[in-house]
Amino acid sequence: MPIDASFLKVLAGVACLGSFLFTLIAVAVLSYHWMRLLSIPKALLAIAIYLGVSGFLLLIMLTITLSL
Amino acid sequence: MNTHIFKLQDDENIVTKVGYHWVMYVGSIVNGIFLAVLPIIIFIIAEQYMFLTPTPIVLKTILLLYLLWLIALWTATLAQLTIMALNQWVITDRRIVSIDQTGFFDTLIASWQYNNIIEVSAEKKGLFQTMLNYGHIEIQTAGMADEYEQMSNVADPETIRSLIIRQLDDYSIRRDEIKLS
Repeated sequence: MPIDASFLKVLAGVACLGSFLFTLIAVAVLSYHWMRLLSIPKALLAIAIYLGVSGFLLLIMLTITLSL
Repeated sequence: MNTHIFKLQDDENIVTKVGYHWVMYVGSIVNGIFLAVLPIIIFIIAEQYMFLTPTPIVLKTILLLYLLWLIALWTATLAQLTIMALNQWVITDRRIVSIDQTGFFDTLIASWQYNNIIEVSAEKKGLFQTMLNYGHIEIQTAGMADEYEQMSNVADPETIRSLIIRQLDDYSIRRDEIKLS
């Protein structure tokens, strides 16, 4: 059965949006605990690393979605 | 650190905090890396030995699913490390406080006064624990039924046991001095 590209594009878009929202919620929850556990500079560094890696993965996802 | 979720009593001082040994954190990271690599291995095996030749659109879909998996895994690994770091025993000069973080918003705090503690034991089991110097600490508390409380996979359990015993001795000396005066 051939795969409908436009339907797949919509699905991929929903996945991108879902991942973005998931990352936002996760960074809020993780930051709350990191602020308690670590000193402020270390917590900020941890948040930056988390957002950097997640942002990079999201960017690749978005690129693939647009190329579908 | 994670001590603001319980209040210290007047004149109570924190002696040390006991958390998981670093090998537990490394274990979580290795587990995360393994789960990240696993789909690649499965894909290579499927391609090589099952002679599957995915079309470009299927390949992109597989890549998208893999990226979704990576985002979830990356977050889950960090979440696990965070929860592990939140779990600890705080040893003060009056009691032992256990902070048991079971989820992101589920915390169980228990404390045992030194006058209720009747035995402290340290255990290292097996080659890894002996070589890397980590193991379990167990305290037995007096009560209607004897209760055992354990903190698993802590660094240097024998030193922590000695520290708790020293605190127990200091506590009983202080208590006797108060009784005499």
